[in-house]
Amino acid sequence: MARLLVLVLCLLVLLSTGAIAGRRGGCCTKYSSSVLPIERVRGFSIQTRRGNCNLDAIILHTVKGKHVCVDPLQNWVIGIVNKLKAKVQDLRQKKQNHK
Amino acid sequence: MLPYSILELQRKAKMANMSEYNDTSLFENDNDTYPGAVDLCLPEEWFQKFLPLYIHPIICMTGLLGNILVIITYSFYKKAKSMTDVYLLNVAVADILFVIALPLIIYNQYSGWTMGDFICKLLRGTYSVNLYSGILLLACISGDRYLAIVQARRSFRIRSSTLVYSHITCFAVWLLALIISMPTFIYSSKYSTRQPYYSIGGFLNATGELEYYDDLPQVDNVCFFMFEDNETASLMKVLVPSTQMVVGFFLPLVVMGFCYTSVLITLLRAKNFQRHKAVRVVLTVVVVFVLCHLPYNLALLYHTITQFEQMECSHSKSIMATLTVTEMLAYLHCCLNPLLYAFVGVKFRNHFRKILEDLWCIGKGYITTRRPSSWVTSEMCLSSRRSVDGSFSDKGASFSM
Repeated sequence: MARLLVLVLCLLVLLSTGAIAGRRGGCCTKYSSSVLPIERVRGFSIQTRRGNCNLDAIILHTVKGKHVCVDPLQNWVIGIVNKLKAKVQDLRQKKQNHK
Repeated sequence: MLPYSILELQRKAKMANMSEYNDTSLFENDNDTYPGAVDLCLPEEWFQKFLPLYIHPIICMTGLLGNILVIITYSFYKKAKSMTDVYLLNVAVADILFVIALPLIIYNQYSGWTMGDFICKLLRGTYSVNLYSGILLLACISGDRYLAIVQARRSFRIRSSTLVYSHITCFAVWLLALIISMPTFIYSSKYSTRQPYYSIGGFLNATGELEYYDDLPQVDNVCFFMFEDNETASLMKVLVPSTQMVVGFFLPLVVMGFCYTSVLITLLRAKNFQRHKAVRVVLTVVVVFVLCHLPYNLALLYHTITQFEQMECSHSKSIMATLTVTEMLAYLHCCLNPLLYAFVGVKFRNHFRKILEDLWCIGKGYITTRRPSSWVTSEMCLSSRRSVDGSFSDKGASFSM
């Protein structure tokens, strides 16, 4: 009985260590106080409180691959987001016209 | 690392080709730091991953063992006679379902939720149902003991005449737990933590669609709440934990507090030679309940109040770590229930001893068939069994809480 218990326990531990590969992505918990120049921003993603994060935020991706959490209600953020969206639309149009 | 750098190069090459967006800054070698910039907050690895990895198997194994023993004892050796027995059996079933759902949830959390969306809903729903029913049944047990000890004269006829009441109560508890868990079942779903990503260059695939790419820290599937809009999220992210705190802790605590205080007063007035033991049992039950569930509920209360506020990453991490650790303490309660409620009773222990002896005899019997010379042991088994049976008629030893 004891041997069986140890066996099952080892199996459980092994199973769970083998499965460690996955990793949960992080969340923005605070907004940045700095303003980023648009040339430094490559793209953005939107975080909402609908899922596993609790703060509504825009995650700006810098050209160096960093993530900066910003307030979606700030004017400069809205500006960047709109410009990037327009560029993305533009690119998509061009791509379709090429075909 | 190599595939990533190739991708990066391809990406840069693509961007360089786009004359409209000749983003030369991409190749500048600056340090890319901005004062006051806030990065994504990643969960604390040690508390969220490694601690549960070693604690949860222990909780699962002991919880499974203890509660299976309770169910075996009730189903083979003792017909559920009193109302308390019916409740205890239901608590054991709830605890077993809980500890079965637990490792599956943990496994999926580690593996990036390899099982489907329905399994996600089912596991989180089951977990919630059993959490509620287990705790509410403990409150029912306290009510039953209150009726038996404080309202002894009035309740005698009800308790002795029928078990229907306890079955109805159990049914009501399971139904209530099911209803309260419906939001968890409805709003839990499997989804990718990868957010839609908009980029200015190089990330349109062959069909001209915007492509997602793994820029955010290693993203994978989670099984968690997902609401259709922010308003629902704001409401349910407060409502669900609030219900859990009120129905899953505060209400049972008030019921247990009232019932056991009355029981204690009655017991202290009575002149029973076993009252000290009974008092000790009652106090242990209440103290263990509070010790296991109060820390988690306090942490949950704090988290629920502050969840939508801005906070430092370190602060957010310590809240999550506190929730994880106190939650383990709360889980531990389902391993302790068999000890606190079933094995504390003399009757139950006698039945259990009988099981052990029968098991031992079966084992011996197996050996005797292989080695006929040792037939004496089986004779010993029979006699010991008889003596245990005899002890059951001893009414004096059957005071069980």
